[in-house]
Amino acid sequence: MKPYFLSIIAGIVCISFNSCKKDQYYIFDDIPRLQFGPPLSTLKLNEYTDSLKSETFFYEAQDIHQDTVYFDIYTVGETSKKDRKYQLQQIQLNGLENAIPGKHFVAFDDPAVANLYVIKSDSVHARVPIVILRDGELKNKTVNLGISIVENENFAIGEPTKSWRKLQFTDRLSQPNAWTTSYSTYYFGAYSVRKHEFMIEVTGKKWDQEFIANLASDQTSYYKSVLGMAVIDYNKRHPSAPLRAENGDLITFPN
Amino acid sequence: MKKINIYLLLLGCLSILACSKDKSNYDYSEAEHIDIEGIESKYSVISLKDTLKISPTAKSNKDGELEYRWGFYETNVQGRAEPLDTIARSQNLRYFITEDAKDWVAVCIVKNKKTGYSQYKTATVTVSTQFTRGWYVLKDDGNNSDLDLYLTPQNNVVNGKIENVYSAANNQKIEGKANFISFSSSYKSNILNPATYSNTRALFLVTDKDVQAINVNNLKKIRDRQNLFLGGPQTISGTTGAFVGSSANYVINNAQLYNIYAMSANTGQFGNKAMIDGNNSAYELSKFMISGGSNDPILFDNLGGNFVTLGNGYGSTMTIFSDDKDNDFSTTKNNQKALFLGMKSNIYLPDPDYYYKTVGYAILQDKTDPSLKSLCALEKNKYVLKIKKDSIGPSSKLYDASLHTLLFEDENLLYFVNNNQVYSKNLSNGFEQLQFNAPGGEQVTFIKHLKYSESGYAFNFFVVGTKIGSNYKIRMFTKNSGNLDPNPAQILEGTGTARSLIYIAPSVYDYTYPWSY
Repeated sequence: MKPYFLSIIAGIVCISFNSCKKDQYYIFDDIPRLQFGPPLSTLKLNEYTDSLKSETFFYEAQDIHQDTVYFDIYTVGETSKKDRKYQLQQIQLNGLENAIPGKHFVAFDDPAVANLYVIKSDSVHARVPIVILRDGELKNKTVNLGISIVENENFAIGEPTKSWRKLQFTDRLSQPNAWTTSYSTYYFGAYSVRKHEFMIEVTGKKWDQEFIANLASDQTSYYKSVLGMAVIDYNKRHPSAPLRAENGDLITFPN
Repeated sequence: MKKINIYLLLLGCLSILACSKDKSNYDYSEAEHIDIEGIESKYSVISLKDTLKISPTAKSNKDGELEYRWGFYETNVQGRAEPLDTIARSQNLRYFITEDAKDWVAVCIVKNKKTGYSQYKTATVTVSTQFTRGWYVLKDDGNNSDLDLYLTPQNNVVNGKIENVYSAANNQKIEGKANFISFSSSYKSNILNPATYSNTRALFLVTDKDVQAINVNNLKKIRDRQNLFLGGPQTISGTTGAFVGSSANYVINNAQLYNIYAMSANTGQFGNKAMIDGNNSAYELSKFMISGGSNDPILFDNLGGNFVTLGNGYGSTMTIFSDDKDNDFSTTKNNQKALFLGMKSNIYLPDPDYYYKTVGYAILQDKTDPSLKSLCALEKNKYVLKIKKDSIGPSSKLYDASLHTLLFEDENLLYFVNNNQVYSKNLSNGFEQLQFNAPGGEQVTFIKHLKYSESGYAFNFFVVGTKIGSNYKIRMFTKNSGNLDPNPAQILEGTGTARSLIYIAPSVYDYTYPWSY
C-alpha cells in the first residue's frame, strides 16, 4: 500500500479524535454593561415594552406638584458586592417640545435625586425614578424627555437599542400607556383628548392607566357598547355639531 | 485514478449502506389485546348518596399479570382544563360520589404488567342531586315567587315533592310575580373556583321585579338584579324574560335585550342593552321569543313593528330581518303588535345550506285597527324572514284567545285558551277543537307543550296550569293524533299561582328545549 494512502488514513483518524472534543462553555468576560428593559412582570413577553411612557397630572389634586415615573434598568455581566452608581443624561428630541431640567423635571445630577441612580449590591435590576414637576405651562402643552445611559466607571452601555427611554408628560388629559394600537383597533378607536373627556363624562370613570389596564374583557366590551351608544345619542342631540376630535375627525367607537 | 482507489471508494460506499439499521418487524405472533367486560356504557348516581360500583373482568391473550386503574373526569368544561383524577387502583370500583351534578366519564385502564400493554374502557356517569332531576314549577303568591320541585327518581312519574324549594335554599323568596323559567348549561360563574369562571348549569327565574340565575345543583342564588348586569344594579320592570340562543344567554328587561356571548370569557354578567339599529332608535320587545341553542332568536319590536334578531349571539346592534320577496307582511315597520310568537320546528339543513331552518308562528294585531288580527307563519332563513299571513276572523275562537303554544315538532296544531277553555287549531285546515274545559272555579294560567327524550324518563306532555283560589293545579296530558287524552297522565298540585314550568335532568342542556312560550 502506498505511503500517501496510509497518511490519509492516519489524518482521518486524528481528525476523528479531535472531533470528539467536548465543546467548551462560553463565559461572559466582557466589562459590566447597563441597558433599559421591560418591567420584571413582563420580562418574558416583550423586551421592548415601556420604551415610551406617558404621564399626566390631570387626575391629581391641585396641591400635588411633582410625581415620579419609573423605568426599569438591567445590568449585563457579573453582580457586584457593593452598590454601583449609574449615570443618565437628557437627550434632545428633534421636532418635539423638550422638557427643561429644573422646570419640568428634576435633573439627573441634582443632589436630590443623583444618589437614587444606583444598582444595589448583588442586584442586576433597578427601577429608575424620573421626578417630573407640575409646571403651570403643562396645562397647555405636553413636553418630552429623552433619557439615555451615560458610560461611567461602573458601566459601559449595553445594547444600543436599549440605551434610551422617552417620557411624555402634561397636565392635560393624555393617552394612557394601556391605550395601545390594538386597544384602538378592537375597542375604542383612535385616541383623542375629546374622546377621552367624553368617556369620562359618560361613564364617570377616570379612564387612566390603572383603570384601563385592569379592565376585564367583558367590562371593556360593555363600556365600548355604552360609549358607542352615547356618541350616537350625543350626535342626535347635536345634529349640527356632532362630536369631533380636536383634529376635526368625527368621534366613533368600533362596532 | 488508480484501481485501488476506486475499490476503496466502492468499499466505503458499501460500508455506509451496510450500517443502516434493519427496522423490519420479524415478530409474526398475534398482537396483544385486552378484553374488558362488565362495564356498562352509562351509570346514573346521586351525589353524596350513591356509591358507584363496577366489577369488571379483563383478559389478555398474552401472559402476564393485569393491573387496574380507574380515572374520573368531567365533561362539558369551559374556562378550565380538568385533569383525569385517579380514583382507584383495584379491579372492583367502589367510589362514593361527591361530584357536582352533570355528566362525568369513568375510565377503567387495564395494563399487562409484563408486556406494558394497556387497554381502557369508558362509561358515562350521570351524577344527580336531589335538585337535578324533576319538574320545577315557578309560582307566586301575587307578590313574591318561589319554586316547587316534583321529583321523578325512577321515571317520568312524579314521586315526591319539595315545596318552596327556592326559599328553603336561599332563606327568602324572589321578589315579584312569576313570569318565566329557563335553563342554561353554558352560563358562567365562579362558584366552583373563585378564581375561574366556568360553565355552570343554571336556572333563570324571571319575575316582574327580578331576574335571577341559580345553581341547579343546590338551588343557591348565583346572581340577581343587584349584580346580574355589568352596569350595576338594575330595576326590573315592564316586559321581562330569559332564554338561550346561538351560544348566548339573553335577558329581556323593560322590553330591552341584554346578552352574554357564552363562548367568550365572561363573569356571568350581562352587558349593555342591544341597540335595534345604528341610530339607537327606541324599541320595545314583546315578551315572546322563538329561540334555541343552535340558532339566532326571532323577537318582535312592538314599538316599531320589527322582527329582529341578534346575529350569532354577540354584537351591540340587533338585525332587523330582511323580507322574503313574497311576504304578506313586512318584517319592519309593519304597524303590528305581537300577541304571540312561538316555535314550531327547528331543522338543520345540511349541504349546501348549513343552517337551521326555523319555523314558527306569530299572532299579530294591527295597531291602527286593533280589530284586525292575523296568524302568520314564519320561516327563518338566516337573516331573511318569510311571513305568510292568515287573517283571524272574529268568529274564530283564536280571535279572543289569551294564551297560546305550539306543538313543537309534533302535530301541526296551535293550542290556545279562550275563556278558560283550551282549544286546538289545525294549522293545515284551520279547524278549531275544544280540548280541555277547566273545571268550575279554575282559571288557566299557562299552557305549554314539552317533550324530552332521555331513555327511561322520556315524555311528551301537553301541560295546562290552572289556579283555583290560592292553589294551583298542573295537568299533564298525553296526546293522541294531536288531541289531548281525556284524563291527564299526572297532576301536580300546590299552593300559589303557577306561571311556568320546566323539566330538569342532568342530561338537559342548552340544546334540549326550544326557548319559546
